[in-house]
Amino acid sequence: MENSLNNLTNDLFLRQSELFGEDYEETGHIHTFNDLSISDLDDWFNSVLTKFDFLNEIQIKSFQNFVIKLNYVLRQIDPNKLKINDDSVEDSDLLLWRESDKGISMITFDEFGQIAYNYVGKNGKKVKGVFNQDVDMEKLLYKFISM
Amino acid sequence: MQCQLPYIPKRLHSFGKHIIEEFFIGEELYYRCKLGQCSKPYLSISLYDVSHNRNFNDSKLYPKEDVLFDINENTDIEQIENKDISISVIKSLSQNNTFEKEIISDDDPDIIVNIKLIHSPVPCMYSHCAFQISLKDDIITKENYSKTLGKKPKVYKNLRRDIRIELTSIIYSSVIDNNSETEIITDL
Repeated sequence: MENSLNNLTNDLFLRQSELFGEDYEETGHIHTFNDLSISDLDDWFNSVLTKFDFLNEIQIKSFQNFVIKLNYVLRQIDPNKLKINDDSVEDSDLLLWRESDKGISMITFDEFGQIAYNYVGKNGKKVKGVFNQDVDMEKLLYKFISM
Repeated sequence: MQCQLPYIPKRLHSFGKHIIEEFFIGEELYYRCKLGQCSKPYLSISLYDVSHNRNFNDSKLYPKEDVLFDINENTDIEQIENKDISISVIKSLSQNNTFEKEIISDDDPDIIVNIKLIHSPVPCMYSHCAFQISLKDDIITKENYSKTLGKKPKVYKNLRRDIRIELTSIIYSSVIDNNSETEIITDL
């Protein structure tokens, strides 16, 4: 049931998406890198909600927005190459992080609805940005996976 | 107070030795972390007890393995097992010859956190040092954490994240650079 509801919500978001709503209408479903990846993504979304059951409505909505944009990216990138990890911070915030050969990128969906981006490089470089739910999630996702 | 632990070598006893407030370029700091966590310290780093050992630029007298000695007099363990050691090298220092970083709250510029590297010998570990975190005039401790830096409002949440990033960067990059800056992105 939970899964179906999420699928329904995802579908709604996708149909309304200016970016790939057209693709959606054409195919009736989303193609990603392979059929397995989209089911993995859906499972991942649900597992995160189960694992971090403290997430509030705003955090879930922001995370869902992130997953939807990630879904689109997975058309081009093998999800196994992204290696996104999930954790919690202070038992209230959802942390997504990934490590490249240059450093660690982190996105935090905190209990106040803030979406924080941080990067720590092996060379000592530090990057930060704190946004609200209006952030362009595509740009944020790009930064997350490109650093 | 003298060190009462028989397995701690005399060279590490603090009794009769001075605090050396200055740190040195090229000096190494050693941090004990859980196995596999040195490369991703963000989640495990403490905000009130960020203990390291220093080596005074003398790795023969103060080798990194000293950080594995258990200096808690209430336990029977000599060496703390299943730990990795992170090494950070001092690249640049403040005018006071230490590491001092000021973090000003983005939400309230009157709220400022200071991170300062201090030599803080304990009876059985002369080389013990720590990144001391203070908020206004309060040095953050386990006891006052929840009433100071650990407070609930958003402003403190953001400060805690900034501090974690600063300390993570030191451990992850293995460099202590007093001149390092954080690039801020706003255009998303």
